[in-house]
Amino acid sequence: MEKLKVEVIEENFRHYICIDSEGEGLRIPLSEDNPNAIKLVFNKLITRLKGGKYELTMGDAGQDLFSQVAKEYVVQLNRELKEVYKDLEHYGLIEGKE
Amino acid sequence: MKIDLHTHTRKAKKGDAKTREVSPDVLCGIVTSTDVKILAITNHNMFDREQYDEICDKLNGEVQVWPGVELDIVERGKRGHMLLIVSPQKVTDFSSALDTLTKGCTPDSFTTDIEGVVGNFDFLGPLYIGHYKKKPDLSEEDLERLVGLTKNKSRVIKEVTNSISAGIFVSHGHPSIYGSDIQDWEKYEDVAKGLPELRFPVESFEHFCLLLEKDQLTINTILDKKKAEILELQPFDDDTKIKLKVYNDINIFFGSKGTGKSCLLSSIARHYSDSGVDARVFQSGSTQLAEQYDLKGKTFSINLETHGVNYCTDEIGALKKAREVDVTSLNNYISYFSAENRSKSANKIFLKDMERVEEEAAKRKFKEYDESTKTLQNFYDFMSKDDVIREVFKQGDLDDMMNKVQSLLQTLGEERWKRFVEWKEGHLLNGAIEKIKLEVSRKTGLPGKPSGTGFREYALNRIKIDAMAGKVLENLANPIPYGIEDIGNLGGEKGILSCKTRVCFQKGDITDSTLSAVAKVKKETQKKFAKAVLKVRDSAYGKDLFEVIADMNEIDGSEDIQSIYELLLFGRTFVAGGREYFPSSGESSMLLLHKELDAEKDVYILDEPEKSLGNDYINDVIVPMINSKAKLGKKVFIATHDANIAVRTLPYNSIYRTHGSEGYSTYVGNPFSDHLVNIGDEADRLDWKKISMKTLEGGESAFGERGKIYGET
Repeated sequence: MEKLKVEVIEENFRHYICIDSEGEGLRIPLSEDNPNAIKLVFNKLITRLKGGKYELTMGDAGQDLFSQVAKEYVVQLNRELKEVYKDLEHYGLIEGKE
Repeated sequence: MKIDLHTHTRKAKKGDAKTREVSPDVLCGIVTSTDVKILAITNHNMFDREQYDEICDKLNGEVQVWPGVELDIVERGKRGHMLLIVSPQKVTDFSSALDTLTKGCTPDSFTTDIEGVVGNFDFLGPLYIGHYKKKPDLSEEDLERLVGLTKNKSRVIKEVTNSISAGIFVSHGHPSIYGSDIQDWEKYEDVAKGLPELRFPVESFEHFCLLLEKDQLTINTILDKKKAEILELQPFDDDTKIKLKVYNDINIFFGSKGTGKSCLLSSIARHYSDSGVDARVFQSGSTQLAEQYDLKGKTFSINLETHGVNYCTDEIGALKKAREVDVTSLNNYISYFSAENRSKSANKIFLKDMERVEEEAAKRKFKEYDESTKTLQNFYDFMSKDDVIREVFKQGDLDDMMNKVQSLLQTLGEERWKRFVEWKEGHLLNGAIEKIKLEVSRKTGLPGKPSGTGFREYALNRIKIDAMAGKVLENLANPIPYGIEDIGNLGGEKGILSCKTRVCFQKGDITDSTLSAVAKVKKETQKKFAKAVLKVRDSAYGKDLFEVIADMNEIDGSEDIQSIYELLLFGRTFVAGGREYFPSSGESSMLLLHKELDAEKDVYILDEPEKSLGNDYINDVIVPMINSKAKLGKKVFIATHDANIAVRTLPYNSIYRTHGSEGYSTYVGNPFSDHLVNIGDEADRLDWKKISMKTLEGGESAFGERGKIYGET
């Protein structure tokens, strides 16, 4: 199964969970409450999932708050990705599959 | 039942074709394959008794064979032919009389005159059938001389060349007939198709002669054999009641305009309709073909499921109501991890931090098992109760199969229960996690760990929208086959006229102006809505999905679209020769009448079916169709001003309506008795033929003109 690398990055005093998807960095903001930004990333994750299963992997996370949050978030997201893949299969939306 | 009073079985004269010579075996084989049931053998100046007897033996009553001869008559130096036909009961006398007359002559050398014929054969009561306008023919004077000499005046008939001539001469009071005068027996089956059809069943030569004499008793006997009933009608606005005897045959109403024929037909239709019989008055020209075939689709509807198309009612309803699902705020995670270590007691409750388990997939799995179990159970119940199954299966085989199904049901039931437990376990566990999390937060004032990112719910919402829009589009792409119904033959190069129905879905790309919406939805609305569904599908994972859905809901008239039925387009056209065709009013009348007569019914009621129709069509198509209905014992009521219909159908019943100084009168009769009798005064009688000529064609002169026209053809 394909693995997408995840890391926490800081930019201009703002923290993000950054998912590396085919060279594109999908950013989930940690320092602000921005549901639309999360939805944008989710849309891309679903679209990517239609092409096949994948998993998010996070290297050694630090003990800081954002790293702990990101770690937990990725764990939960991975579980949900698996469920959503099943949903896509159920509705016949996996590309290349009936 | 056809009759052929002119056949040759022997090459008697040198000029006769060899193909006239036929053996009894071959003749019997050929004749029995046709509808000919009366055959007269009329060789030139000879009668082959031996052959006649052999033919009679072989046909054994299946076909009546009447003995006869075709004689060469010379009158005033001019030669003509005359058929002489006698009763089979007098064959011996006939044979010897002919032998005596022709003694010392060959068929080629023999001639006689009218006086000789009458002198030698009149005692046999023969039919005299003289060639008339058929070479070599007898003159009018010759035939008048024959009528003057014979005691059997009603048995003098003119032999003409075809049915049209015969019809005209009969109309003018000259008994006429035509026969095959067969030249080549190999062609007899085809020739026989054009021979005269007998309207009444003729039982014998004598019976035929009585009918020729219009013997009332004979006619009444035949009419009485036909199924009839008395109708009590109240056709008009006043209290006038009319009792009419009508036949399971052709009943013609005629008379001048304004004598109440249409009212009579309407009352007959009411009479039968009230008894539950499908009966309505067909009025030519009252409806247009386009209306009859619903070209505008006013009453058109279609069951999409029969074409394997899903209405997508749930999907369209759900798409219209679709709303965005929120995701879990990252602040919830921040809050949780910021406060995580502040409550030691809370940290002992692990359940609050447990991950939610997958519930949706377990639920789906259970539903699949549940559905299969129910279907199998229904099958089991059906097999247990159905009598046909019990009849077809051997009891042992059925028991074996039922045991296997029962075993399968048990296994399936156990698995179904397991799936149910799995689903509910997850459901209860997730409920417990949420509840405890809530309680811990309430007691400690600290936030609980978010159960999920919201990705699953968010994604599932959009996946469902994607799938629903996809399902709608997939069903819209289903082709619905063209419906083509043949209406009738326009004749000539135009050929068959068909009604072509085209039904398709508006998928957003159809701009054909000849199509109209099936449902009460504007075409523009259909087009915009179909395009919007396509856009919804394409935007399922886009940021503007719900703006697209909002736009779809704002389309003017979109509230009327509940299913894809409202996106149906309809077009119906007439087609002939592979192209769109617009039939004329005459063609419309022709086809509508044809359709009416083509329908399987017990009662046909036609009001002036001749309107807008040509004589050829009436003669060649409509009259034979009416006659065939009569043969099948159907009741046919026709009000007409057309002689072809009123006379040439030879109706069992002619009802004449008239209006004079004493008010309205109704006469009944038929062409066989040649009388019309006033139903209110039996002594008041009219001549059927004269009244028919006068009323139907506007006077005898009109008949005469028509005769000349036909005579030239």
